Amino acid sequence: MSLDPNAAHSTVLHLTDVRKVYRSGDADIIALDHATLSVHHGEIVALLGPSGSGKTTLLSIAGGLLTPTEGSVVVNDHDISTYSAKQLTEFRRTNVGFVFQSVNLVPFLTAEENLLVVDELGGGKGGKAAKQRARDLLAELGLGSRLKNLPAQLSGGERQRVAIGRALFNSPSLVLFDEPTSALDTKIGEQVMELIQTEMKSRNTAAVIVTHDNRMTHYADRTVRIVDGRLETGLLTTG
Amino acid sequence: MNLALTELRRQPGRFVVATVVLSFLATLLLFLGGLLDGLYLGSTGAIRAQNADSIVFSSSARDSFLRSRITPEIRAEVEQVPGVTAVGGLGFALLGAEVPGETDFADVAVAGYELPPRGVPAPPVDGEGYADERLQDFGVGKGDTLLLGPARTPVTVIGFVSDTNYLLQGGLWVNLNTWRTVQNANRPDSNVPDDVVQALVVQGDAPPSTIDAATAGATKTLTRDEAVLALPGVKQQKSTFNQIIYSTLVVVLAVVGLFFSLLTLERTGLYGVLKAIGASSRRLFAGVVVQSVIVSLIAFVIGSLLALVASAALPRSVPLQLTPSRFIFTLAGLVVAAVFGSAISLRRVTRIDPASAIGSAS
Repeated sequence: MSLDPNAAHSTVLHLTDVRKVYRSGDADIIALDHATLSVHHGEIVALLGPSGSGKTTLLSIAGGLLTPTEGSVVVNDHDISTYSAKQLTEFRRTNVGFVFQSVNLVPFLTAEENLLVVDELGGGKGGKAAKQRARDLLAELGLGSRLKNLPAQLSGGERQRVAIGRALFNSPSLVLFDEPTSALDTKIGEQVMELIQTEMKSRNTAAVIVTHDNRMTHYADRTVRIVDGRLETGLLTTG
Repeated sequence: MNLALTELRRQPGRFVVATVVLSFLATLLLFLGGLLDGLYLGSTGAIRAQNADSIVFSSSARDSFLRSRITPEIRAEVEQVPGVTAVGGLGFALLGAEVPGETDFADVAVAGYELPPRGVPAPPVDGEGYADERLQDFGVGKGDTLLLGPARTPVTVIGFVSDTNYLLQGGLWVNLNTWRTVQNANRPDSNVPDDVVQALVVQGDAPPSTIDAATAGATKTLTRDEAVLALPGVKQQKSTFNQIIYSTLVVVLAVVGLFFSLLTLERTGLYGVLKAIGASSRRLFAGVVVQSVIVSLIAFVIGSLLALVASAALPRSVPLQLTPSRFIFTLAGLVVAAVFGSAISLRRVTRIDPASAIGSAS
């Protein structure tokens, strides 16, 4: 596929005419219908939509968790739409950060070790440099005194901050958030969103945040609505 | 840091049930194996100890020492076979023995021999014998005169030998003349004429078929290992116990398979997240295998201790013998069963969709 050279230079994620169709018995279910979306470096995009609208499918395709039925997905100049499962595993590990809803952290690892998992999955041994990076990240996220705590000893907001640290550990250019505040109360949710905004902007990292909570959209640069698998763009918000 | 090992260290409680069950199975495997070894070693020592390449029976004996008779003429024919370097007579008599100072009779296998078996000195003079150490359990000591069978035939113990028992009866090694005396005095129904023996111990590279051909079919020659397995009940014991042991290993495999399948099912959410952030199925499955092998190793150690305690607590009449090779076999069996058992989780791990991490609230 060809992209506008200027756009390609600053674009981290570019979805073009992406379709995802599931087969259910004799019927085809269209989860995503000709979706086109670009996200640039340092840009935060909120993806808003009702249940079953296709936002999870879009996030999964953008992160290389699913492959599209049609269309192309380019992340960091890699067209991942034709990648094999093995290539996608490697791609996710090195190019994308994920923050999920609630089952997120490894329960028997400390906050620091949860970040070092990323290093281990990449074949690292959790050496000095990796440990220092994990500590620095957690300190930056306000968890400097919680390095040795297990997830069960952390509050919901703290757990989500550890998850953000893990997503940022490999310095990805794109971080995907799946309803990061849904398990938190409003106040903590806003703190987490503020933190996401600060961290993404300071690193010039692109982010797509799936949310159903309109109150959280003002932390995004742009809100994209999705209904019945179709994207409706245009609503601009200021962070 | 290794995820699988860290989980074992930090959450040992999750693996307690599997470890306990596998420990009992390891104990059972060692116990069954120990009984098999005890029965086998206790039944076959006298034949395994023979410095022989072949053992010659009379053809009508159906491989039984007690039924077999070899005449001097047949012996002479065997001695002439090319490749035969040495021939010795062998005979057994199973009897009860009165031990001085003891109220219970000792079970004795009186073995008459010419060619000394492994660890047994040259045949002693008439009326003397070397006793197997097993007879010490019956109170037999050096210098004791045992009174054998209903005829109370005296044989004096002049020393001890080991691992030379026959059909679970303590070996008492005497010269052929003493053996005939004992046999004829106590088993008048199966008298052994002078110079007749039950079987021949043959050294040399003459093939069994050549020996049997030389005697015109009057003999049936077995290799020493074949003669061991031909002892009454040995083959049957071995096959029965081995079937139970292999069935127990299948149970180990099923326990490991079931336990780690359930554990994998429980970890579906976590594995989904780990896959989403870049863990391969191979890495996650390797973690399951590592955990199952370590749990099996711990179970082996606990099971071994339990088996050793049980072995020490049991009366010596129980033929339980725990040998190093039995421990190695059990360890290998447990590890192999653990690897194959955990392989049941492979499909489940492979099928976990990393996309399941997204949109999942629990």
